[in-house]
Parts: sequence; structure tokens; C-alpha cells
Amino acid sequence: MIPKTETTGAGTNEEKKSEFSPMFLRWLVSLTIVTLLFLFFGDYVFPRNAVRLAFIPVPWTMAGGFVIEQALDLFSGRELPPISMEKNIAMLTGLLMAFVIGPTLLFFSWRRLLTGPKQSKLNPSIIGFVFGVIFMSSGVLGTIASAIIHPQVAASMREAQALGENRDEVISGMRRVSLDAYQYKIMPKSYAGGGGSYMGYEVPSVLRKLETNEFIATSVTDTSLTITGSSTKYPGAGVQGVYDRQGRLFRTFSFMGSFR
Amino acid sequence: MAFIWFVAGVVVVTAVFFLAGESLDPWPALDAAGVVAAVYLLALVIFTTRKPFPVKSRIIILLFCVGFLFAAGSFSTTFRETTAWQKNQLLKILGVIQHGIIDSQMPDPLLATLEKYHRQPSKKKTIGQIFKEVVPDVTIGKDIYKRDAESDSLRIFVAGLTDDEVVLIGQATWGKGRSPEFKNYDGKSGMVQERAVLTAKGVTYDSQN
Repeated sequence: MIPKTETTGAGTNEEKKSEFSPMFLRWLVSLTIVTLLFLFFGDYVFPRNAVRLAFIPVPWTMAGGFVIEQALDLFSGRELPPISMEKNIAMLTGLLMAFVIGPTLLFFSWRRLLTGPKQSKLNPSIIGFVFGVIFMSSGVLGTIASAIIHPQVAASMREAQALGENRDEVISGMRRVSLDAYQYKIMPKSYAGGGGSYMGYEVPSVLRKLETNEFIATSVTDTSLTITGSSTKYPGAGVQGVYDRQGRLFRTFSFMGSFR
Repeated sequence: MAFIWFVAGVVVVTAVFFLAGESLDPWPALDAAGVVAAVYLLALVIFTTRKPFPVKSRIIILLFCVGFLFAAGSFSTTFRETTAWQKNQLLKILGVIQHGIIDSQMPDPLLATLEKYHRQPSKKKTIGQIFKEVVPDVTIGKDIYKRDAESDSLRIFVAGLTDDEVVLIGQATWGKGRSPEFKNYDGKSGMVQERAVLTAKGVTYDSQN
């Protein structure tokens, strides 16, 4: 005998059925099984000591990051490791979330909401729609934002790098001039040197003007020399260095203009 | 129906991703799987937004998806270019650092020899003899670079040693110089290399790669 209280209360049996429909239960059971599988067997797929990455919403950022990691390995003289399965799965999951899983949940649920029978608030179509929006937007928002921002970031990086590169070229040119000046100092006068002094030193024409830089000896004494290297690419930008009697840089370089 | 679309999409994209994958380059797998995923997304939108879906909504959704795909393609392309450029820049910076270290280390024994040679009242000792005093136990082919660490990438070889001339070759053991075809002193190819020649007239420098 069924007690009377079961047929009365918050809702009818019909309403209870619609909230826990077979479709919803199927999803719930599937998700629970997947979660339990990951809980118990996750360690066999991803070793415990590795960094765990569930998924990357914008998978191209991970591919780019891997390329930079490779560059750092080459920089340090290390052998290039292959892409780990963990990274592959993270990239693939990101792609699937934004292009397959999210949109499939979203559009089928949306269609069901429009065309299907009216249901209560907690029904599989609503849940599917909400999860679809979440999964898809995780990739869509990041991708669109990155596509808009990235060109500006890349342009500013290139600009900064070009400036740094030019500054490095100036410093490298100054090193060559300082070596030449020191050689002049230690050579005897019979060999067109300074006989122990920097006095009379002039930057030779072959070192004076390079592709985008110019060098002059701005101050010359017996025991010290000031070299100024200026950029023709960035007007007003330059580097100044004072060299001692041993031909070594005294203290540090002074930077001018946009090299500062 | 949704389940079939879901399974088909996941299986096809995953299969293409792993079939096109390369062990050292992440882009071919992402490109191939991205194209398949984009086709899937468009097909899905066309299928699910058919009648009785309002036409206006259908057009807006399609435009949104095309915009998303365009943004994804654009970001993928520009980001790949940027990271490839960054990789090249890092290797270029390594080359600049290696040139700089060679430039700062290689001249020292040569200038010390030159100074000593010209300080002799009567040039009794030759350039070669004085160099052997400055760098004891030196022989042709010997690496005279004082390494700070075992992992140091630079070498300075004595490539020539006569009475009148000393030739030093400074080279890196990893990182790339200007030309990948350049044959280095130690038999490697494409590494940074600088050459310095000392004579009684001074030191001449030649950036070889």
C-alpha cells in the first residue's frame, strides 16, 4: 500500500519524472563514471610528478609556449624534448571544448528548448544549454580577445626588440673601437701608435661608421678615452663609455635618448 | 542525434589531431584538427539552426561562428609568426652574447703579447715566443678559453703559431652564427666563429660567422 503522503507535497509524480528524465540521468551517470575513472586511473595517464593541465581554452597559446620552450632549450644547448602527451591532450581538449563539445551541447539544447515540449526549470536542455555556453565561451572569448590584442602586443615587442638590438650593436661596435684604441696606446710611435698614451687616437674610418651606428672618440687623455656610439636609426639615442689605461670599461655605460 | 554528432565530432577531431601530429612541432596537429573542427562547427550550426529556428537568429549565429573562426584563424597565424620570430630572436641574442664574450676574451692574450713584444728594447724574442710565455704549454689546436662552468659553450683555439704570427679562433659549440653552411674550426657547422691574427703590426679581427 502506498502511503498518502507520496502523492501529495511539492509536486506530482509527473513533475518529478520530468526533472529526472532518462536523458538527464544518462548524462549524470556518464559524467560520474568519467570522474571516477579519472580519480582512480588518472595517475596512470598523467604521472604524479608532472604538472597537470586539464585543458587550455585557447590551445594556440600552448603551442606558442612550446615553441618558446624549444628556443630556451636551444639557447641553453639542451636537446629538444618531444611534445608531451599531457600537452597534446590539453591542446586537444581546448579545441574540442570550443569547437565540438560546447557548440554541440549549446545548439542541440537550444533547438530542443525551441522545438521541444515545455519543461520545468531543471531539465536536460537547460543544463545542456548552460554547459554549452560555458564550454564554448571559454574558447571563444579568449580567442577573440587574443585576436584583437595580439597584433598590438606583437608590434610593441618587435619595436622594443629592434631598439634593444640596435643598442647591442652600438655596444659591440664600441668594444671594437676600444680594442683598437688600446692597441694604438700600446704600439710604439714607429708603428703609428701612441707610445703608451691614448693621445692622438682617432677612430679609423673602417670602424667609424657602421650600418646604423657611428662612433667617435669624444675625449682623449694619456690614460683614458671616452667613446660615444650613436644610432643613426634612432636619432638622439646613443651609448657612452669611458675606458681606462688597461683598455677596460670604467664603471658602466651611459645610455642616451631612447636607449635609456 | 546529439550524441551521434558529439561522438563523431570528438572522434574525427581527435583522430586528425594525432594523425597529423609531429613530435617537435605542435602546429601541424593544431592546424589540421582546427580545420576539421571549423568544418564541424559550421555543419553543426547549419544543421541545428534549420527550420523552425528563426531565420534572423540563424543568420546571427552563423555570422558569430564565422567571426569566431576568423578570429581563431587570425590569432593562430599571427601567434605562430610571433613565437617563431621570438624563437629566432632568442637564438640571435645567443649569437650576440657569444660574439660579445669571444670579443672580450680572445684579444686579452694577444694584446698582452703585443704589449710585451713592443716593450722589449731590442726585439730579441719573437711574437710566437712571447705568446708562449703569456699562455704557457700552448700548442696548435689547444683550447685556451678559461671556462667558468663545464656547460660553457665557448672555445678559443690556437689555430696558428709561428715566430711572426699567432692565429686564434673563437667559436661557440651551440647556437647559430650567420650562415648554417659555415664550417667551424672544430668540424661543426654553422656556429658563431671569430678569428684574430696577431702580428707585430697589431691584431686584426675577422667575424667569420
